[in-house]
Amino acid sequence: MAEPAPFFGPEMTRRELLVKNLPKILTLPMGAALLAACGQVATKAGNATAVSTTASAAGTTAAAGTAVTGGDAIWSTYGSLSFINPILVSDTSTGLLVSFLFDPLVNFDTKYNPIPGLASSWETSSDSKSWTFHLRNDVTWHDGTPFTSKDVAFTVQAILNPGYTGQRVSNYTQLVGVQQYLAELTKLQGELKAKTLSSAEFNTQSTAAWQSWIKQGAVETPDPQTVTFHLTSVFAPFLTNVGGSSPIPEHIFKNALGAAMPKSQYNSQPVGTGPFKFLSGNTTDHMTVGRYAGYYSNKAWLNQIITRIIPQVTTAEAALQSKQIDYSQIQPPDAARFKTLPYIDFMTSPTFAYEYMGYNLQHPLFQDQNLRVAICYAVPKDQMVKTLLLGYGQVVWSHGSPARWDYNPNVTKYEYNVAKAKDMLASDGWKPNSSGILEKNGQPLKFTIAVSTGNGSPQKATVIIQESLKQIGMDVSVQQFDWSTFVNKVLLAKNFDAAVVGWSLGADPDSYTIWHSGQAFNFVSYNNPEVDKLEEQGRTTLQQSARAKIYQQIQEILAQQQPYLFLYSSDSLDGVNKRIEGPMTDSPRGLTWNIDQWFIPKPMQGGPALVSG
Amino acid sequence: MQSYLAKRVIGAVPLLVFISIISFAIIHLAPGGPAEIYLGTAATPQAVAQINHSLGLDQPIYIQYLKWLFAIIRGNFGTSFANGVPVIQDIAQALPVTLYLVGSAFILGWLLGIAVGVIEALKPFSTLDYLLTAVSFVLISIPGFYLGLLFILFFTVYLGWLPSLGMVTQGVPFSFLDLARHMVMPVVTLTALEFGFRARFVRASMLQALNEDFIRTARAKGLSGGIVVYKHALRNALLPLVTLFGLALPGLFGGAVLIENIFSLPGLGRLAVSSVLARDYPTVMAINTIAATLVVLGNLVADLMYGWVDPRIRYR
Repeated sequence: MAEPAPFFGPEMTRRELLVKNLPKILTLPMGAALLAACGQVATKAGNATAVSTTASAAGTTAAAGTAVTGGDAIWSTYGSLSFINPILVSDTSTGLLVSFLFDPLVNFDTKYNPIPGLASSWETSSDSKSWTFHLRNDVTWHDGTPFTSKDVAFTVQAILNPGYTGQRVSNYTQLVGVQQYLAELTKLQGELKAKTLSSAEFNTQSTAAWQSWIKQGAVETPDPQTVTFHLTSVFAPFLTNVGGSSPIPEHIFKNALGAAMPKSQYNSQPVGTGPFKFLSGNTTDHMTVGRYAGYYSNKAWLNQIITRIIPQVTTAEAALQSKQIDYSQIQPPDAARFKTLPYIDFMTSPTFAYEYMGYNLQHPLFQDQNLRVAICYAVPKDQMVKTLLLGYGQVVWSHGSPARWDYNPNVTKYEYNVAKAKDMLASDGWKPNSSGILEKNGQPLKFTIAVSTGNGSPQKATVIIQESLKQIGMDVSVQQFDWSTFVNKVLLAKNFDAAVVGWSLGADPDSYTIWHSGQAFNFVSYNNPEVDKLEEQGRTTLQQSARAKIYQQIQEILAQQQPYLFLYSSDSLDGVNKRIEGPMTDSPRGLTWNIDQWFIPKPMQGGPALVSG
Repeated sequence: MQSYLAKRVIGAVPLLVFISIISFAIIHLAPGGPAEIYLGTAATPQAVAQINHSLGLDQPIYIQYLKWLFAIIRGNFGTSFANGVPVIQDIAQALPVTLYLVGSAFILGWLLGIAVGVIEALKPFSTLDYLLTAVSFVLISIPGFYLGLLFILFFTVYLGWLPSLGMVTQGVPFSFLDLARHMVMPVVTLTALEFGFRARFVRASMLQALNEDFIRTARAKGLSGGIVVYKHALRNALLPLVTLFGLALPGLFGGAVLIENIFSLPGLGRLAVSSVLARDYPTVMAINTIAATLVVLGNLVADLMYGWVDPRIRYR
């Protein structure tokens, strides 16, 4: 008797919820990628400093515009919370809570410049293979215990523990001894599977391997305020991926390593180092965090942040409009309405995510670069941005995001030109057969596009691609798969002709795992020795301007060679109740990255409904 | 009576075990396990093997099922894969919300359904009957999520009368008025979904009863209209409805899943949706078991009610 449930179809797995407004996208398994998933670049007008000049509608009092303590911000997110633990978190909703409760060693501003966090300074050794972080001496965990370098080392050990259940191991593979240790672990797992090793033997032997890795001293803690990481090679993404991650408390988790960690009560009652500490709440309704009086930096102004979990964006929008909450993400069709509401700050920002159609380059058809270029000429990307994103997004011509420092705006662009596409195919010997399908040597131009199930922009983009290619005589069919099958059995298994999907990129431009030949996420089997070399250089070059040049070169090569049909990057849209003041910049870094500097003027501290307009 | 009850309760056990086997099989057959969903693109074979090993998912499925079954018998629902909290804790928070929602809607839906059905049946084919019939059909036809969104649009966004989020206002002391204000729209939405169908059923059943010979006899011997309608006709008309009573529970639970998602209520329905998406097997199985038990109980209560409404039926 239950009605069909159009809202929670198969599209809403935790994985896909990682990126707002982009229901179908892959996220790089790096700590930094999650940051990117939360956010956006457009500044709230006239609100760039802590002393806001934004006129407060209700606030004719002196309080308006000057930061004051007090008030509860009522935030919203859409997914149920999972492990509120920096090394276990894997979804955006929980990531938001982690960002309120835990501080990273190194923080990043909206332009992704590194700024001090728990570490006040850091440096590399003369051979650039060792990173030393100098920690502040005034940081305490929310239970009062001092934070030290031991916590940092413990965090790395916990991630590399053989029973670790999270997804952050790949950030640490450059540490001394880790490659060998992981190889040993894989060997033991094989023996366990082949039953030549019992479960108990596996546990003892893998723990022994882990302990002997620890003894190698890849992470050194000479004193409580110093921690040094030794790498096997120069590795530029290290500062973002490891420096940008948040430590967990050793005194809380020392007896809850590996498989025991997910069962710890401290994943739902976290003890962190951030400006806010856990107060109360649960995983499906709301979670309340409050100002931490012992915070090492400038204490937050807001008394509490109540994060409400609202599964339907439509409902969250209604709650924002009716002044029940202070924040909601906005869907493009509702943007016009929120732009005109006088009590809402409507903000948009580009994201580090983009969508594309990847070609299986092992497929004989797609080994022909001319064909790939012809397809690019034939597909109207502008129209996708206009109709699917209602203008809230940009066309992309290569890998990367227009919002990131490595972006190359001057890459080769095969702009929409159907006549040119037809000419290219004709001069390559493709001729229409009796039913109008292009043919060469008796073989029709026929392939299938794989896409995940759902009703989002990737599926709609797929239909536009299919129709556009039909116009020029290609016989294109579409096959849909549920997300998990799509990722594991189609993409990673390289079992497709072409596939429409997206990337949510991290803050670091390193794209080694996507474009270097033979890497895990190079599921299109792209193989270009020149790009391989550039990807290697990009990892070992530390200077940002030099790195930017390297990645811009890669982008140009990819734009020319078209291993993907690059499509578009969507914007993120946010609405905030105007009673919240303070420096607010919507960037790919996420709206709330500096929420500790926000405040609510006295007259409106009673609730979002007190805003006028 | 007691022996009947005992027989029924014992008979329910194999039924529940059967339901649990089916749901265990279905959730484990769903593509992608918890490790794949949790790890996403980081799901290397090693990482998946590691998680499956630590969750005990590398054992044969029948062993996993038996372990689960024996744990359940000892009252242990296990630990959630999705957030590490004991499942019983999540359920204890969610179940009262759903029982409150479903219970209110169930009682209101029946009372309103019977009242409207009787009014219609007393004056069949009158203007009032046509009007109420039209209302019933409209309510039967409107999908629940749509009705819920319409309510939010009018009463929250346009009029600003009622809150649309959760059970209570966060950050203020608890009050019953606050709770009631939050629950009006969810309960009315769920009631509306139930009520139309009930009213149609009562009307038909009541019309049939009113045309029976014994009603004419009752009227002929000069009984008042009220006694004829309520004591003689209604009691007979309710008999077929008792079957519906038991069958209505699964539908209400299905409706609650939607309503809880629309109104952001932290109930069992939302927990069910999020745990299925995360392939959180222990939570999914606990919810299935509880829902199945409640439905089986509902049917048992319905069967016992036959005896109450129809004295001819005796249980042995």
